[in-house]
This record gives sequence, structure tokens and C-alpha cells, in this order.
Amino acid sequence: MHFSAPLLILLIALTIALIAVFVIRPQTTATAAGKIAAFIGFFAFPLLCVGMGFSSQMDNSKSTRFCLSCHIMEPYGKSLWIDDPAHLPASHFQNHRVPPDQACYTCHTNYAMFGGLKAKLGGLRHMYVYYLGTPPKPEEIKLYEPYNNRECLHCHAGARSFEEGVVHSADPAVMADIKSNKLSCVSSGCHETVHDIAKLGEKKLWKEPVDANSSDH
Amino acid sequence: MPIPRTTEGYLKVVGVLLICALIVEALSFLGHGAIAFMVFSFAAAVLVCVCVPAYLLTLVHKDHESPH
Repeated sequence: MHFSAPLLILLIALTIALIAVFVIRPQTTATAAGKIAAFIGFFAFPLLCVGMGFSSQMDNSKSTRFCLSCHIMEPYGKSLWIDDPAHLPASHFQNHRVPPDQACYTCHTNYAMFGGLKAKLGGLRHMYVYYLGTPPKPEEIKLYEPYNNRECLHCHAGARSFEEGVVHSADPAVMADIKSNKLSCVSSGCHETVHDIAKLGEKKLWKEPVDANSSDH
Repeated sequence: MPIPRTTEGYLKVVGVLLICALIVEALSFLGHGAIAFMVFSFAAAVLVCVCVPAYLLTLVHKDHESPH
């Protein structure tokens, strides 16, 4: 759940004001009412601030802006603007097949049980490597495991364009293989062009990249 | 800084710590990137693991019945 920053800052300011009363006049806690107010100020409100803040930060961590805040991810963000419909991430991003403000998370989360948690733990690992480890070059970044069709089928399964697609439905065995992840969607000859970072400099961009979390694209 | 010996003294220290952690937490909401997330995590960890337990300890501190 996302709480707006002004609301959270207001709650924090209120908590600080309440605590400040007890720091300046600690004898206030001598009365029963003072003890209750102290409990609210020192215990309940701070935990509420942490809980609401955590929820908000978790929601923010799904944003495209968050993922691209590490410089190493900049080429990947730029690849979303490539002017080529065969470029899978770009066509999804530019045509809003994925929410532009959560473009990375939508495709790179895991739609299995606890998948969101797994994706966030992966994100924590990325931050550790980026700030405390030795980050690889952008073109050397690889997925932990081959891209699972499950992530594509989360949206495309049941869609007419997918179910009745000429190649998909030409042979019933092909559809079965796609749905059982035996035949990868991004395998050679199919939707193979994903983040082509190595050739990014040669590609024409649809328009200059802007903040994907703003509404002007 | 002298070590506080009364409940009120502990409460003051805990209060100042809480205020500092809350200010850091509030500042983290001004950013949107990974650094803001880490700053928030640090502030939240201090709040939950240090400040709140320290406050709870003041409740059971022997001096908490000191007359005022």
C-alpha cells in the first residue's frame, strides 16, 4: 500500500512533537494520562511510522524510477525507448502493455507463490552488490535463471492475440510447449530481442528517455 | 554525555534518539531511489531495534516510580 510522502512526513512531525514534550518535560509521565501519551509517542506512533513507511517504500521499490536509480541500469532504461517493435521490452513499455511506471517489476517479478518476496530479496542483493560489492558491467548482467514463460503468460494467457496467434496456434504442440515452459517465448526465432545493450548505441530511439514515473510520455 | 541514572534521564535519551531516527526516516521519503530505501531501512532498524526496546526498558526500570 502506498502512502503519500506528505502524509507520512506529517505523521512523523506529529510523533516528533509528542516525543519532544517528554524530552523537554519528562515529569509529564508522572500522571496516568502522561504515561498513556508517552506510550503512544514512544511506542505506538513510531511503529506506525515504520509500518506505513515500510509499506510505502516497498511500493516505491516496484517503480521504474527506483530500478533505474542505479547507474548500472541506465542502459536498460534507455533500451525501453528503442524505436523497434521487434525489441520486446521497448514495445511493451512504449505501448503500455506493462504499466510504464512499474515496467521493470512487471516483467521481472516472479508470478509464483512468494514471487514478489523473492523479487524483492533479489533487489536487496542487487543493492548490496552495487554499493558494497563489485558490480558487473551493464552488458555482463545476466538473469539468475532462464526467463520463465510464466511471467509472460501471467498477462498473455487467454488473450485472443496470443491464443489465436498464427505461430502460436499453428501446431497444438507448440502451444502446449509454450504453456509448459518447454519452449521459451524468448527463444531464437521467436521474441528473442530483449535488452540488446551491446548494440544500444546503434539503435534509433523513439524519443529521448524521460522519467518513466512522470506522465509526459 | 553523562550516563542517565533516572527514568526521566533514560526517557530523554530515548526521546532524542527517536527524534533523530524519525527525522532521518522523514528525509528518506524525499528520495525515490535505492539510497532513500537504504536510509529508510537504517532509520527503521534503529527505531525498531534500539529506540522502542529502550523505551520499553524504561517502563520496567526500577526508578520508574521516582516521585515528582
